[in-house]
Amino acid sequence: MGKLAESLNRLPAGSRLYRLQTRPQLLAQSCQADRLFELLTDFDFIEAKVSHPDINLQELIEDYDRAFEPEVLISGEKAETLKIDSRGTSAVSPRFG
Amino acid sequence: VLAIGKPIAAATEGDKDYAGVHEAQLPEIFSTNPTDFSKVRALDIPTWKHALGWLSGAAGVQLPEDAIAHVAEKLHTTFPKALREVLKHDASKGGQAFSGMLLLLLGNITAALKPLNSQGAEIVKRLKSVATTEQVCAVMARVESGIRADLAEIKQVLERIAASQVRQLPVPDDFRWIIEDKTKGFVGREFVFDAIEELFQQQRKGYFIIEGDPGMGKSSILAEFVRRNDCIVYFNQRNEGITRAEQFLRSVCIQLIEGYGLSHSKDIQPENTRNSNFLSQLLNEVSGRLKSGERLVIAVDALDEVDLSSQSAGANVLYLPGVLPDKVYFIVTKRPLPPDQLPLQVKDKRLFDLMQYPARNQEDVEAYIRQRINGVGALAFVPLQEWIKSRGGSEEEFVSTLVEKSEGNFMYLRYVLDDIEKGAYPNLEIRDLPSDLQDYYYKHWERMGMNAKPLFKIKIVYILSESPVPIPFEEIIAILEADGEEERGLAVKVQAILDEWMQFLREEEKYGQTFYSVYHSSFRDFLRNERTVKRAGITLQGIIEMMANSM
Repeated sequence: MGKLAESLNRLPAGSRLYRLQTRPQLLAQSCQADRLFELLTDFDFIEAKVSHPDINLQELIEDYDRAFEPEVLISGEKAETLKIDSRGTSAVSPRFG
Repeated sequence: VLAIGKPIAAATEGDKDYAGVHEAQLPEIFSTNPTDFSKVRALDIPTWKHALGWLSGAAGVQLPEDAIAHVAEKLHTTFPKALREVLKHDASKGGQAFSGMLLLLLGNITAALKPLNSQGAEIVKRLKSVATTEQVCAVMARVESGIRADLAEIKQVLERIAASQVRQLPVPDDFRWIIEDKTKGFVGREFVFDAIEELFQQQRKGYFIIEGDPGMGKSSILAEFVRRNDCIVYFNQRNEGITRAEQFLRSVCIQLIEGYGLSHSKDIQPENTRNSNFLSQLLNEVSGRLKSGERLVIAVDALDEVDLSSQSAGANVLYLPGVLPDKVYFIVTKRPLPPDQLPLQVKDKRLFDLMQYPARNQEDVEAYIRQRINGVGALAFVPLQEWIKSRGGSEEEFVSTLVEKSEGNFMYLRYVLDDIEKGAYPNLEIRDLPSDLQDYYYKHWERMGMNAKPLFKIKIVYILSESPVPIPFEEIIAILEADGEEERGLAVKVQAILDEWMQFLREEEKYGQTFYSVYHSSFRDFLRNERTVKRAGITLQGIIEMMANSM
């Protein structure tokens, strides 16, 4: 279990849901591209979000869309990796579900 | 009261002011106008006091003032309970008294309908206020023998309607509280409902778009429409995190599948929440099943609160279909926004701009204020009547001042009247009440000492307004801790600030935690306003960064 999963597991259920739901958006809004990138390529985060009963897969897919919003100035190289991830997530999701 | 019962009976015998109630008069407690039903209220304390005074006077008994007050208060709380018990008791014995009343009422309606000579719409409208058509049919079936010819005729009409009636569409759990909250104390707005009905009569399908500034009562109108009609419902809410096209498509498609028994899975595939194809398919299927005279209505609130980044660029907001199948209607509300900020290219639309009806708005505002003055407020800490009187003012002056200041804004009225009743304005004259909704927010800001830039308070208020979804109490603490606030006593301090702003917040318990969100978007507008941000001495960017840094 990674560091992120550990810290998420320590939280009460409502707080855990809040962080899974809002973190990517808050990072995107505050243009913290590196941290957003880190989060969206962290399998602990992906797994936690995919397997949460109150979160739809579409919400996670939209997190990846945020990384491509013009305000989120992600360098081309990193954005390429994310694009692959975005498609990949959608295809492999049953593994986590 | 019991002790003076007998003398009263004796004293009032033959009194022309006092007449016993006969059974045939019972139906008169029902109105034949469905909209009057929401006006039914238990007697307030002053009315009970008045009645007690009159009764004791009639019986020649002298009761001290405080005894009357005490009894009035007790009656105010126990009488509705007792009435409910009586009805329950009757229901447990087959509801004979109730059915009897219903029949008498039906007779009255039949008599009233004769001169109207109109079937269909009018009959349904009146009967809906009494009971469901099925119930009425059942009652009528029991008294079939000896039924009058005109009753039989109406019964046929009713049965036709019952057979073709759209099944009852349940309101999803997420939206129940909104409908309850937004329709509390609802008054007037008939001109809007009439215009909607006109669209139904004149067009085979279409969009009815209600436009108005924040606080003008768009959501309440929509909620009241939903309460009165069988329809599919959706409320976008920025502050609750209900902002995404995907959520909308999922909810509406599930409601359609469940409500009309369509043969599709209720597990909506993600690809069906990324464009309007599936929704359009379902609308076509329902449209094909509707009989003549039936229609499908979908009510959608606050299009302006949709997060457009959650959908493909260029598409209609929420992927609303540009062309609708026959018998399908959308009733939507939005702030007035240019098309580039709110794309909505649809055929068969009718725009209803609330701001174009200042006289009607004013009438409704007045009715709302008078209802507040004369209604349940008698139980408030500072009843409005007393507040007005203690300023040497008159009800007329109070009403006309507030009508002018509110400029048709119901949110303003609700806040200001609540504040008066809570005792927030002990030293204010009527004319010094806040000049509009934004000024009201500013006055609260000022009263809470925000102009001294208390950073701790300011952070909390802005965390609440910038949070994309309702935030658990513990997360507010976590953000502040990560931002360097001292841990000791933090929870108590945060709770104290939340209490100061509670009238602008919504509190919800879930997952064993308490979640907070901003109640009305106009409060968020106020906080995000450039002038307020400057006064606060922060930047929104800084607040969001702080929130993102807590993990």
